[in-house]
Amino acid sequence: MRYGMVIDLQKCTGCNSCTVACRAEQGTPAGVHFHKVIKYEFGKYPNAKMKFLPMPCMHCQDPPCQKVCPTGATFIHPEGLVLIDENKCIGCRACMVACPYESRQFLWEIKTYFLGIKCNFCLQRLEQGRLPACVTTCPSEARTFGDIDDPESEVSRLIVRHRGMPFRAELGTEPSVYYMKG
Amino acid sequence: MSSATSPTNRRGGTYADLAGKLINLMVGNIEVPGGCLSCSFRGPIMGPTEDGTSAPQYEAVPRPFKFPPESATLKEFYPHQHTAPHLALKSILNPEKHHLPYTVEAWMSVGGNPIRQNAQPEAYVAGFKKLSFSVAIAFHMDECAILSDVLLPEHSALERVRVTPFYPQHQSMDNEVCGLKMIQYRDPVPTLFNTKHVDEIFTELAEKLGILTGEGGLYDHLNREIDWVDKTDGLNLNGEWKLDINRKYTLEEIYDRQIRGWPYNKSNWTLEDLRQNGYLEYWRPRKEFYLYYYFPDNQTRHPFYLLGLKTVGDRLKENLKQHQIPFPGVPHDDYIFDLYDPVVHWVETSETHPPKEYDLWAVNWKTPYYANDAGNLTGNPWLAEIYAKDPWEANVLLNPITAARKGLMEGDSVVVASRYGELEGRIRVSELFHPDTAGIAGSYGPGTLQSNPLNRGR
Repeated sequence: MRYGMVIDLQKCTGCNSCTVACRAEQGTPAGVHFHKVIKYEFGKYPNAKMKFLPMPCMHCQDPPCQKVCPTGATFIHPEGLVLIDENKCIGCRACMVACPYESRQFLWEIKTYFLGIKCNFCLQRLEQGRLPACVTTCPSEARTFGDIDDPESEVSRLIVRHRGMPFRAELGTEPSVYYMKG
Repeated sequence: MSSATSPTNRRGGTYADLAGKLINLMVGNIEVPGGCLSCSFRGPIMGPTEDGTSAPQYEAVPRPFKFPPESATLKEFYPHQHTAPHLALKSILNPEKHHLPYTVEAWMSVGGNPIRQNAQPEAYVAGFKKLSFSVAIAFHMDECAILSDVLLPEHSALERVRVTPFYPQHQSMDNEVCGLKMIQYRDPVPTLFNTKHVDEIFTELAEKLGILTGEGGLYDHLNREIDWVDKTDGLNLNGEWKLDINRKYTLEEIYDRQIRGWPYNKSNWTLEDLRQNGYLEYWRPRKEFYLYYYFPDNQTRHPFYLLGLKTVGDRLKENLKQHQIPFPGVPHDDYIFDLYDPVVHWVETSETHPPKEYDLWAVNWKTPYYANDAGNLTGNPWLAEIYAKDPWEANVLLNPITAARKGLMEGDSVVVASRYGELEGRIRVSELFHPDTAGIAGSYGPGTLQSNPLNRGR
């Protein structure tokens, strides 16, 4: 079992509903987003287009953030999620430097200790049999979530049918987030 | 070919729209599969008039002339008027010039803020100063709430229970949504303060005024009303589910009766069923998407010339002559009657002949997360954070060729000036913009004393 997500970039309109839903679900403070939507231009006038790249944590299966963690706070959950053990995090921020997707953020003060934080694919919802907030919120239904180890799952079939690719696959981080080309 | 929105939202836009429709007519592309569909209601609404052309609907049906006028928005002078709060402002500031036989003394704001959502906030402030009494139904302390004599606090958007029909696209080219009939329910979040649902406020006001029940009362009106956009497909009070006009109902009871009487509620759902499931949908057969279906075999012809418009204009002109009055608020009558010509023609706007010293056109747009400022969307701090990080917002955007021509580089500070004002900003170069334009995101609420001072242009 390995949770994963596929995002159809042709459907994404850059509305940031996912970003806001994530914030509402996770209760992050001002300026801290587990999720972001990158906007970029493509082409030259008059054929230029605006494109969007929604980016949760990629939940890599060979995560650079885990390799650099000096205390073992970053770990891979049995179902494929890359998570942080709050009790072990010492706030060194090595993971932030190592993550090629800039998925890690830092809380400068939570009570008396510092903490690295990140998207957890809404584990608290998964445990209740619910989908991640960004998936259920997306108005254009660009996201599909499920078990990418199961070849019969919808998420796996979409990846195969549309030749879904991770973002920067050449880094060898084996992300669990795939994109259908926009 | 779509002639929606951009060309129509300006003076003479009717003719841009008509030109588009004529082209579609000539290639047989009106109300056919894959073609240009008229907006809103799908049903037997475009029956032939006496001359065989389709009957006007919605705001194409003219309002009667009346003098002196009764409405502050001067509907009597604008037979096809949509919403016109700017005319109400002019009536407040200068009633005699607009032939109004009274002065406007009171104002009630509900869910809108004409001061903030207007390019001339100072003019509305001047209008409010002339009022003797104003009431605001508001969920936060915006300008209208601050200026009100009586403030009736309402729930914010997410605190309101909501039962609504899914409206078809207003101007639609595609047929994917034409067949979908749907009603939706949204659960409210707990209220933070001692507020009320806006409909409860109106109910209470009607009750205290003695116009809630009985003949001619609010409930009687609700019983007779049909949805303006979706007509008989809307959430109306139908048949046995009409209200007893002699007793009071809760909002939930009224919603329940609307749902039970909805023509596509084939499973006899109640409010509780809708609450449990979120939405109720019904897909009409595809053949019913097209208005041709209801009047086949050329029973109805689409007009090539807007003869109805000419008739309305002629009648309006005659009425002005009869009462020996000029058209209110314009320098000369031709400015108005130029737009009652039945034939497509070029209409000049204030920007048709701009002064030569201004070499760029300012263009603006809306982002999906700031689609409008209803409900103080632009005051939402979470969205403001996204906006602040968005490189295509809060900047002055120029095509690289234009930037190079002007000797400007990314990040340079500039002042953008027009005949109407100026603003400061930083340059971002972008291939998304025409070389003759300066892109400035908006309109996210012009500056007022209650907003970010950076938004206050000069």
